[in-house]
Amino acid sequence: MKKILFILTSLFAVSYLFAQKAQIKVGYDYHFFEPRGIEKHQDFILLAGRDCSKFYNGHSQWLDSTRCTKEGEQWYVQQGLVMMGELMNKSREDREAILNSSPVGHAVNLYVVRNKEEFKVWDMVYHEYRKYTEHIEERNWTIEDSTKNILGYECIMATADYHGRKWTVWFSPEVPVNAGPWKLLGLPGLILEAVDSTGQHHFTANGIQAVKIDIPPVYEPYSYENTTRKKFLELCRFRYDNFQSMSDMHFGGNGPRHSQEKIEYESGKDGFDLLETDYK
Amino acid sequence: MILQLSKYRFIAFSACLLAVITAVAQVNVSGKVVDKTDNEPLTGASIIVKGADGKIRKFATSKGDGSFAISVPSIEGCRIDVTMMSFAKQSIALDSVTFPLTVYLESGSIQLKEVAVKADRIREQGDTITYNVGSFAQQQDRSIGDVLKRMPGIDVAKSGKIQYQGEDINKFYIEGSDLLGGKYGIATNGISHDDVGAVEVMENHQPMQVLSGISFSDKAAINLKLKNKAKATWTFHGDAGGGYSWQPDGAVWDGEMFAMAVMPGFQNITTFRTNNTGENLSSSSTDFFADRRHTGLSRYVGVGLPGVPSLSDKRTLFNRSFLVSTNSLWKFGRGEFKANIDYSFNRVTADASNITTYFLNDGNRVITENRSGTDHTHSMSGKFIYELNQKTAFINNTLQTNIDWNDLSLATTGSIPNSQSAKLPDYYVTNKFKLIKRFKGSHLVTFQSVNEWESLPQTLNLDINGEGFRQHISDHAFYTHESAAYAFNIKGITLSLEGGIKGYLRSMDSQLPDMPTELPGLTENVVNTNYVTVYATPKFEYWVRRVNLALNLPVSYAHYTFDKAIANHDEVYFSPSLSFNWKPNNRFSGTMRGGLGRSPMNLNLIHPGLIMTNYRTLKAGTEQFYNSSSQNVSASVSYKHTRHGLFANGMVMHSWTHVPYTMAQQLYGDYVVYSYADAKNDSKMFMAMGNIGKTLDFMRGSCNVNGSFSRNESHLFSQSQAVNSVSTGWSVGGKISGSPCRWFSFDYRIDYSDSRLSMNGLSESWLSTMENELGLTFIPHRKWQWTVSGEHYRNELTENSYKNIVLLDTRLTYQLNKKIEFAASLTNILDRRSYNYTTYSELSSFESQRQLRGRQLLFSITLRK
Repeated sequence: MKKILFILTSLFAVSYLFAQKAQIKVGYDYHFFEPRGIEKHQDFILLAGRDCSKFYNGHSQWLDSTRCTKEGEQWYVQQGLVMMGELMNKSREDREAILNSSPVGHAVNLYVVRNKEEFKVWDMVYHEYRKYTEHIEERNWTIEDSTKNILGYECIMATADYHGRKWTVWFSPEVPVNAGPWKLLGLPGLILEAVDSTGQHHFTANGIQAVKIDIPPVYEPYSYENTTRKKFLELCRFRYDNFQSMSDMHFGGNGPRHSQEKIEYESGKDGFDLLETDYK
Repeated sequence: MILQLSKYRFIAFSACLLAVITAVAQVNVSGKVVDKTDNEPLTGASIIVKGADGKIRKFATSKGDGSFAISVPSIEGCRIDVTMMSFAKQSIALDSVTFPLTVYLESGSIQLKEVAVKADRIREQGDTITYNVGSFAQQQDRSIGDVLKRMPGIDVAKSGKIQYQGEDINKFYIEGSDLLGGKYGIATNGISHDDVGAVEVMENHQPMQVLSGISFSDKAAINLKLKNKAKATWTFHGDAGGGYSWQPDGAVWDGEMFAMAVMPGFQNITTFRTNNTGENLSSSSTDFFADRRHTGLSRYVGVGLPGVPSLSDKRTLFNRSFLVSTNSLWKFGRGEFKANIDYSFNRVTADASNITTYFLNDGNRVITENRSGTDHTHSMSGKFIYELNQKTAFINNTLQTNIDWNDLSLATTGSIPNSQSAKLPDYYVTNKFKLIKRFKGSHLVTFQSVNEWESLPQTLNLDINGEGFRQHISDHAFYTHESAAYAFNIKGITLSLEGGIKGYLRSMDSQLPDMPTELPGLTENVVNTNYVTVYATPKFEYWVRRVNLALNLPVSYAHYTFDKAIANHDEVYFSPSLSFNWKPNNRFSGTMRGGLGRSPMNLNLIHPGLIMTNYRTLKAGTEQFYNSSSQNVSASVSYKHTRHGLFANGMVMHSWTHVPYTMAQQLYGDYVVYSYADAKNDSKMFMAMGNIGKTLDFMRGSCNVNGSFSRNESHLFSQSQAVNSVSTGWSVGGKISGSPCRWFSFDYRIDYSDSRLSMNGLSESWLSTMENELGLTFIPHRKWQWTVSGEHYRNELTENSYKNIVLLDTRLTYQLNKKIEFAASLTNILDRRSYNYTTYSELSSFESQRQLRGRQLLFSITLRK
């Protein structure tokens, strides 16, 4: 009975999701330092409408949707083999660069889908794919006096604590959509820029367009395991604190032995942390 | 004690009282947001309470039932702003309203200041680059060709030919089907950009599936991905325009009809275009993939219209043009059948005057030459193709016929007043058959048969001082080529051997009945130039991962017979070539090529008698058989970073040619006779060019910078005289386009080039030309659009003497609805009607006069389905 109920509700949820229409499409550049202290840039797209939104990487979405077809998966496997050959005998930095620039490389795994009062999040850490739902908490935004022009929009500064970091954002009442990058929202206008107090996580809008399209679903070429936000954050932390154990866990207790140098490289560095730090 | 207690009571009481007072002072701004059209509550509307200073005091979002509640300390001077996407903003002063308040929102759009979302403009998937058309298109664009020009990495030449990263494309597909072959100009000029969703560039495209993975291709193909609205249906659009021109004086017209069907089993594009406004339609009827004709005929008669200044065609072309083309593709079974039929008519007139003044001691002597000509061309072509393109088999049979009629008349007044008229028809038929079969996965067998026939009769009529001359030349050729090849592939190495036979029969005869007495030589030619060639071409191709190496070693034996005109010849030719391509990743590609070889002369030059090419030039052929030899090396690189929208390519080339003969010129009275004589003629050429293109996302634009350099050096030893000539030239150019805001977009282009010629160490001065073109489009309202554009040319005539000309145009468009549009355009506003210039030397002056198209007013209507 419980199962049927679950299926029915998820069917309902899925069909509801299909019906969601986006009114704007916003491009964001996410400039950040990951826990290893490595600086990165990622491109994200926000599709947002009334009470709904999707925050994703365009290339990852294309790849995931491609891989959900038979031909697409065949192509992916073929390309993957070609790339494996290329990666041989390359330095670690080169390998990462190749993976990130290749059409089959999956540099960005995060999807944040908002439906009314709930976020659904898809993410990955060390090839472990997870998804969870999260109730959208009220934010206690303080509107500041400062303003800034972003992409031609007059934006107002606001600050709030959220998921362990102190965020400063700029939003524009000229775009009356309650949305923003990642999980940031709750202001009377679109958030076009957001930076945390350390400056290590910085979202900046680089494009905005009016659209009238259905928000596409998240494709799952991997089997995503259900989890909770806290548990996922703990897993992420675990990967950066105990790299060898994480690798063992992923390979079923029998992962390859990593050199001390590799473990050092893969471990979290002082002064850097996850995007959400309220896992403690 | 009591007192103390009451004291505490008093404090407590006061505290309570204070709290109550504060609570009373809070105003609860509450209400409901409702859609005015249907009275339904609106969820998710943004409600902002602003103070008298305009600053945000508090905000909220309307709930599921449209309600909202915000408590503020005071509402004095405050306003409430209620906004929501797709609704017009409501702003209400709170002083004069009672709560709960009902806010009615009216449908309306909130105009976004759009900035294209970056990640979407260019995408890369394996070997395919996808350009989003919408993000490169600007308001004033009409056809997909207008948009292609702005895509970095893609270059559309003035002729309409498309290049990707400096190389010509090898296929042009519409929804994956090759409907038009090389006449893709019909599509780029005709298909509305609004019907195309994306342009895909497929790098290293191998059009024959049977060769995929076996034979490498360094060419790219373009595929237009249509929007759903343009698929599985007929789309039409038509333009009709009429107006008045100040020069040529009279009525002008410009019309176009375009119909397209793209269905799963059938495709058709039919277009009809006509104008006399100076628009050259040849880009719509040129076959950019046409092979060189093996019949090898070329016209002896060289009467042409006077040259026009190097300005854009629409300034100098006095035309009446008409083109109709219909192209169909049917898919049946696993193959497809295509028919491309077109007819065009072109009438072009040109006038030119040259005035030369000689400064003599006893007064000036002025010589005037006026030329006025008309050229009528009718062209008809039909191409019928059957093709089966599969992984194991490829069959293609192409039957093609081209018939052209070209009638030209040119009247000259001046020192030798005369009129010339030439009838120059051309009849050509060819059939090409190719079959490739792949078996056991890596073995290939190919059979090919090519047959071509061409007839190129030429008639030249002259009238000099009332005296008539007539020359007729008949020239026809038949060419046949049969070949077979076998290839196999093991672990990335392909070895192939092709063998075949070629046969060629050509006969030419000419007659010049009334020869001017001062000219020596024969007046009649009866020439046969025939050959039989047997050849073998071993090929070696190594293709593993990112490296491709190909070696071609064609060797042939040829037997030439000339029907006693000159002695028969037997020749062996060997022309090896090597190419190497390295593509370490998706971004970079480098190619090096080299080759050397020997080749026979142009057989058209073999004739004993004189042939008149125009009223004062004649050609005496040669009675010798010559071979020339050449070597060449080239290297090219290309780089792209699609995420950053960056495309770059560069090329260097060096070639050497050795020709054992040279053209000699001799004067007999007023006549010039060209002939060929033994000489050692060595020349070498160096060329380098580069191109960088980049998207400019902040203004939905793109930019491009290009440069080139060339140096051509030749040494000629003729009759113990040595002539060493060097021509050097370089050019730089750039273009930028963008739409920095919703109501404005622009296109700007600049080209600068400089060249110099030196002979035996004596250098002439560097002469430069510069061209600027700017177009500005304003969109004050979504239905109105106003474009102002202009060109500036600056040509250096002699050292430090420049000819400048500025030409301005404007166009106003009103879009009534999605289907109907009206436009008015005024071209050459300043009414510049001539392009005249004078150059001086110590003893003379030379004045050149050319006509330009004058001011022109055109009204037009565009209809779309």
